Amino acid sequence: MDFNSELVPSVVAVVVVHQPGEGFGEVLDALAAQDYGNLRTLFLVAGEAGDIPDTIRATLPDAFVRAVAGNPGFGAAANEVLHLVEGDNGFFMLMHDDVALEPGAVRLLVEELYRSNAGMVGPKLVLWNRPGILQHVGLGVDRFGEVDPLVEPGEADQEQHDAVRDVFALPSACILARADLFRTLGGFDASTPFYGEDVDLCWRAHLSGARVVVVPAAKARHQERLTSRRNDLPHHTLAARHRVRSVATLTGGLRLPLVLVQMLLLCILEMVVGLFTGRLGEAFASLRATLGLIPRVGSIIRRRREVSPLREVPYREVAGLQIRGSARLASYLRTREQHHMAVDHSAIGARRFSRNTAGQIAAWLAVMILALIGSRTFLIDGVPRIGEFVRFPSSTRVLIGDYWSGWWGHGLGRTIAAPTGIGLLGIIGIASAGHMALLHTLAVLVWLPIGYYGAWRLMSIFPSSRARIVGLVAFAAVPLPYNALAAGRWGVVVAYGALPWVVHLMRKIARIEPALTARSDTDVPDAYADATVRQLVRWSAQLVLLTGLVTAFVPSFAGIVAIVGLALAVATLLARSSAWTALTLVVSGVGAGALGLLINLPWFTSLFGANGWDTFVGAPTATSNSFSLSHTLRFAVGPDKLGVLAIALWLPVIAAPLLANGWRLTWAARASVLAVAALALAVLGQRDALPFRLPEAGILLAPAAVGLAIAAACAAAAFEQDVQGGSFGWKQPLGILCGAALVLGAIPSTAATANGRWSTPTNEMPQASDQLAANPTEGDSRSLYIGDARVMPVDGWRLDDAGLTGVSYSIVDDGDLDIHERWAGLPSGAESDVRDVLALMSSNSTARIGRLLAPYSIRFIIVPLLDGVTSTTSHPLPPPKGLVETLTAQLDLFRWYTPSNYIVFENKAWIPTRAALSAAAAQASNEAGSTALASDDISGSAPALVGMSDRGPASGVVPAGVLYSAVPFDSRWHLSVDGAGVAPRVAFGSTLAFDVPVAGQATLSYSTAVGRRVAVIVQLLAWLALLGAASTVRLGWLRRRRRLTDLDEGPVLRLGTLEPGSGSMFDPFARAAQPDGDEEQSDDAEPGVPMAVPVEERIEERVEEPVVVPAEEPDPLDVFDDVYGPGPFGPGPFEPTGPPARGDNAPDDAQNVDDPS
Amino acid sequence: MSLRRILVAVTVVVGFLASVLASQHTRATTATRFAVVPYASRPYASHNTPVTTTWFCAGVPAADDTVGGQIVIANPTDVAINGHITYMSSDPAVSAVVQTLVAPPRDKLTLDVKASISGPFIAAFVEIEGGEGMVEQRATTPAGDAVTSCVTQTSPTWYFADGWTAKNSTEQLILSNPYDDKATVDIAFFTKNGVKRTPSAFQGYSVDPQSVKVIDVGSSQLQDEQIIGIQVAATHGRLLTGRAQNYDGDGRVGFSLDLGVPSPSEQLWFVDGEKGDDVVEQYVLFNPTDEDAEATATVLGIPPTEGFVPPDPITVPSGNVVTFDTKNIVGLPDGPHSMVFASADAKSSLVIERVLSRTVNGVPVTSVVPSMTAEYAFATRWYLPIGVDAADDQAIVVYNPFASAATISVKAVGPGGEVAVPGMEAIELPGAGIKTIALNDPSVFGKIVVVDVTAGVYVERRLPRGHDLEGLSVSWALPECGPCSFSSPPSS
Repeated sequence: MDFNSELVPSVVAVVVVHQPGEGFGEVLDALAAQDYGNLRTLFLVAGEAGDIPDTIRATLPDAFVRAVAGNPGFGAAANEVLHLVEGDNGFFMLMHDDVALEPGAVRLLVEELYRSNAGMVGPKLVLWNRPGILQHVGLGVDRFGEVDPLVEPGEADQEQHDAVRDVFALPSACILARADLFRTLGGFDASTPFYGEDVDLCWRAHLSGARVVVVPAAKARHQERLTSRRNDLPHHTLAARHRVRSVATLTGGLRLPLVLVQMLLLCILEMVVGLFTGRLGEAFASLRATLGLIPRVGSIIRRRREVSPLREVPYREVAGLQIRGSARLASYLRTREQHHMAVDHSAIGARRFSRNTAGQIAAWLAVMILALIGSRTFLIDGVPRIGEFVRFPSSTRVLIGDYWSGWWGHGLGRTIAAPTGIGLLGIIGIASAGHMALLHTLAVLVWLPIGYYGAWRLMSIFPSSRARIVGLVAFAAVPLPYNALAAGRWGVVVAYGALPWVVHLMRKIARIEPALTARSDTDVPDAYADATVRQLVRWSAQLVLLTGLVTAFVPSFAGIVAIVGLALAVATLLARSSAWTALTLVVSGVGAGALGLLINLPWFTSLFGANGWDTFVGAPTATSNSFSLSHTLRFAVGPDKLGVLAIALWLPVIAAPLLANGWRLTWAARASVLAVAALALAVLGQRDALPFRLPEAGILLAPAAVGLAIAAACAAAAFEQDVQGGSFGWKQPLGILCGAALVLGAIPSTAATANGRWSTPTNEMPQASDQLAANPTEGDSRSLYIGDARVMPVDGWRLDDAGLTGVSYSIVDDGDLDIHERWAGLPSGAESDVRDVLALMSSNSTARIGRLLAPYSIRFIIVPLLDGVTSTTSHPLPPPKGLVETLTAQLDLFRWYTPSNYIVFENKAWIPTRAALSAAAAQASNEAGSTALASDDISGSAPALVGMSDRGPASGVVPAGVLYSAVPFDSRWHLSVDGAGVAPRVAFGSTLAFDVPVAGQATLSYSTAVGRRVAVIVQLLAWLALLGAASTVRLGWLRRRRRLTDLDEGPVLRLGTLEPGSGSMFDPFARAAQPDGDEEQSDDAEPGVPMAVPVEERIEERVEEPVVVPAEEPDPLDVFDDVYGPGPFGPGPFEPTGPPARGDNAPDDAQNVDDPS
Repeated sequence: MSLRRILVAVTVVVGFLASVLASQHTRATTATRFAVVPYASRPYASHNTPVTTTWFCAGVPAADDTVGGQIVIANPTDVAINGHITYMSSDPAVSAVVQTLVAPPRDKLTLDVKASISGPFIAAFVEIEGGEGMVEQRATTPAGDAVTSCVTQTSPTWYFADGWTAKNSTEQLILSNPYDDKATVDIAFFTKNGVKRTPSAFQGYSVDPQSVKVIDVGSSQLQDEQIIGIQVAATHGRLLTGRAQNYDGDGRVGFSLDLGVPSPSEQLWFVDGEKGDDVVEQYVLFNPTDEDAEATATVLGIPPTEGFVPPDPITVPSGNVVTFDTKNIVGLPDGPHSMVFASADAKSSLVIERVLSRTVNGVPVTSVVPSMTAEYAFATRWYLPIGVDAADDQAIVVYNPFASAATISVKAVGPGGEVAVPGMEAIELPGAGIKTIALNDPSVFGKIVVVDVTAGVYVERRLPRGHDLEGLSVSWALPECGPCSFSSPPSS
């Protein structure tokens, strides 16, 4: 159709350009080829401009080009049109820089917009290189903001979607929007730089009553390469966050609560499904985004208020436009029915589960089901109390109180920083709503899926899903965690779960990515991705947080992280990759280890001192030579069924470097060096071949598990890309052998699941603490555990330096053993005194050891014999030589209870933890020294303040005399009797007593130092700061609002009709209303003058003056009406007076309109 | 193969090889050890200044006015020793009595047991501060007195080789439990031909805390036996076991009260042996182990004698008691000699006692002593805490088990400290020689006597039977055993 180009409304094509690809020239050519008579172009160049302006002007001499600071994202950049273009009478053609319009596209869009009385229209998008394949014909959106692409991946364009129709949203790749509408809506949501900006815009358009219509007759090719162009972005996270934000801010108020609940449930379902489909990241992003609404409530409310004026139609009408049910579920179900397609089907804002998920689902199902089967007894009956699986306290309040207090009650107690782990458990306990038993079970078992998922994420270094599956299966097949579970080695399980994440984060910090090309990268040692400083900071913070978290429970983990970084760096150098990468890896490892310890201050400082190394690497154990290299290779830190088969898992460590090429060889090197280094350290540690002790073998072998998994995945990737299809040689059999080894090596772990309890002892060994009443009427007391370090139920202090070997001791309060006993730390002075007493007993220096232990309120002396793991009924470890005999030879010890797995002696001379001393004891309390104590019978004291917590306070009636507290003397303990303070004094040379002058109501309390409070707060702030840095959540009010283009740059365009032959902006309404005479325009910065100077120079000029569009400007639609006839709006600017007619327009109307082409 | 691949492969191989090599490193297998097992095969004194030292005494008869005893605390130091003594009675109705004590410096504190507690038998344990004091007990009976050193450790097992209930002789086992925890024991008797008797009454036999139990061996269907080896094994707790023998017929007369030995040993020494017309010297060998034992008896301290034929090895089957009489040794000259019995291999060990009956005025006065074990051969200082109260021409018998000569110095502890007895400052003792020393000097009467030797020796003492009875009572002196190497196996 011919029309008068001088009369058609003005269309400004707004193209946001950022590092355009090769097709940019075609984009420009397509714009230049448009047959629309009043089309102007405005290019907003984000980031480094380079020669882009010249390129644009070479094709479009009249184009306006403006620089945009940074790269704020499409939506925010496109919004600059609101500042740069004045006037509402016209249209904005909002475009990506990778969209090539067919010649008549703009005209067709404008025509249909008028015909359909739409607010926004968009073309049919097809693939860039295969125009016969559909990409988008509008977008469907469900109530959860999920996008349904409406077309299937790879769907051929057979005109099946060519009817004009209303859609809920249009891809932001190309949208023709009425300028007044776009301005009324405020443009794109500036908080949505990428992903979801189109849905949000169109959703608001619907709220305002505008129609959104797809015009298939208008066609455009689109590259849609955001994922690859901006691989620095957290795509899933952004998409989920923006989707949820749109739902929260745009959904009708009455519907919102229900929608949010449904969305949360859907997220949980998605998590479950994601677990099996390998898309847990997307599911997690979705859940995180949903939960992230909580801290964003303020900003959500503010935006709802901003959007509120737009709500012109009942929301039910908008909701009626949304697709029913879940677009995600529908998409998933559709996808499951499809066969593999070789086309890139990814869609903007549309998240799909992988088209090739069968293997992934099978792998995840197998791994998770086996883990569940193996853990079923744990899940049903709880984790048995073996080894380090000590219970958690029943209340989080206890944990938090202990951490907040300056008094640490472990052992005899003292003023010292409580372990960070206590505080962390307390906080986590709050999150579990106080279900500490459940938390205990989770704390033990959750590290398996965490490790699996970490390995899965780590294996994303391999673009092949087969390699990822192999990596996952290999990691899960390593029997280390299952043997550790069987042996009650919690630290090993934690290290196993955390280390894949450590390596993954180190990789990200080093910005190592796979080279995506398959064969052309043979000599590329590593490929790298861009990363912003913010991302690097975030990953580093995540690594430090993870290291700090695990170190709080497993101190040696900090060192392991450093060793992993070092091993990866060495391997990187060996593979002749970048030295900078190696440096980054080692710095990240060592730095994370150091900072991981640092954030455990102030507890960390309490570990310095004699034998402080023990606190890092664990208590030494008497060892034999029975833990051979074979045991190490099969990760036999516990009972390993068919364990020898697990050695097969090591084959890829050797094979992968032989099979792989290019960057895969680099990863093979990293995997192999990591595994072999861990193996060597484990062997050296077990053999005491180093001048210092190393952590237990299980923790040292955790990096080996990661190395094995990477090696297996690497072998699979190499087989797929480097070996398969090549000429037959030794590599093919070797690759197949690796596969067979993986199958063989997985047998032990599979077998371990059989009994449902990871081969932990069938019957939980009764613990001595079960037999000892908590807070008995005869007074609080303590128990002294002494025995072979390997069977001690709690962490202890070594007695080796007292001339003994392999013997540890620990002091615990009455009642159940719990997680408090996990952090022995270094013995205090008083606790060292106990060691001295034990040394006296060892040298047969007295037969009155009970009296010497009485001041420490040690009532029971427990010798553990069988722990069911290291020492079993069938293979018992003998108690330390001479221990039971020596104890039996004490005159004041009574062999109290003797089950098979431990021996309990009761000290007849014990003094309750808090007691009113007998006369003899009171007299003796003024003395010090072993001889004096051993000579006097100090029994007979009366209990006081029974049941008081370690840190107090407690109240009760006390008699006149000496009130004794069996804690090391500390002036921060206060006693008041009937309101009067009583000064503390030293008793028995080291403990605490108060000389109470008269009987009365007494209160015993501990006063925490201000410094401790400050230290806790500082530490908390440090953790919060790290959490903030590690999180992708950003508070809206922290974001700096600013203009993206130069602040003082005024409009450069004004909407109107182009005046033929004029280089200036033609005002189509000039005949009705001339511009004001005072609107002077600079000759050299006249709006509409094509940019003839580089972008930078233009920015500096900033001389344009805004052209004010007269309010009485005639509506261009009137003019357009002259061409096309009266439109549905009637006269006047776009002022929807009611909901536009829907459903009765597009197809029918379209049929009534002559095809403009 | 690219350089990268070579570097990586070599590194991996080297890593594996290093692991293999490291796995060959054999670390010393260290068994967990808390203490040297509190094991003392025989009583000894130690001056290692422990916090407190507890001396456990076997017990003395105290049923009536004719019997009784004393506990003697010897303090050779120049400061008083504080402590406590706890008396325990075999009368179940009588509770243990605790008394404080102060042993004066360079003197002895003698406590009459009947002054503090009553009962058919009274045992005691003495807790003294530090490790310098020594404690002995003296039992007094109409059949003679018997001095026995108290011991610093108890044991769960005790053994006696020589049991004798012939004719009117009686034998009593004294089980004393000084602990707050009860002790439970199984008692087995081994008679001739290896018959083991385990009376049900003495299986799971309980000894209450801080009490004494006395078992009359003869009344346990073991009357008129000349061979009775006894084994007391605690299944719970530890205790002290003594044996009171009152001989009255079949070649034995007199009273003997000895501690058992806590375990069989591989090498057993005796000093004061003698062959003569009026002397019957027998060694009773008891093998309580599960293995047959073979012991070689070696006569020591005799001059080279023509015609002397070393005795053949003695085989003692498991659970058997064998009596070896020195009169059967071909060519053994009359006079004193010492004896050592050594097991043929490390597995076999024995309990051996010497029974020596000297006929005085037609009365065969019998003394019984257990053996001394090898580790005490290094003791260079021996004490006689009770000492002597009157002149005695054969008070001390010393044997030098080493080939080199040694010098003996006999001292008495008095107000001036340790003072050498005139004429006994340097008594020569030839290598492998026996020396009998008289204590006739009045300066030693009632004093703590110390035998200082320049080399390790064994010392037995002869004591008068008291009550103007003829003959001697024999017991070991108390060795100071700082340097002793307790290499014997643990008793449990």
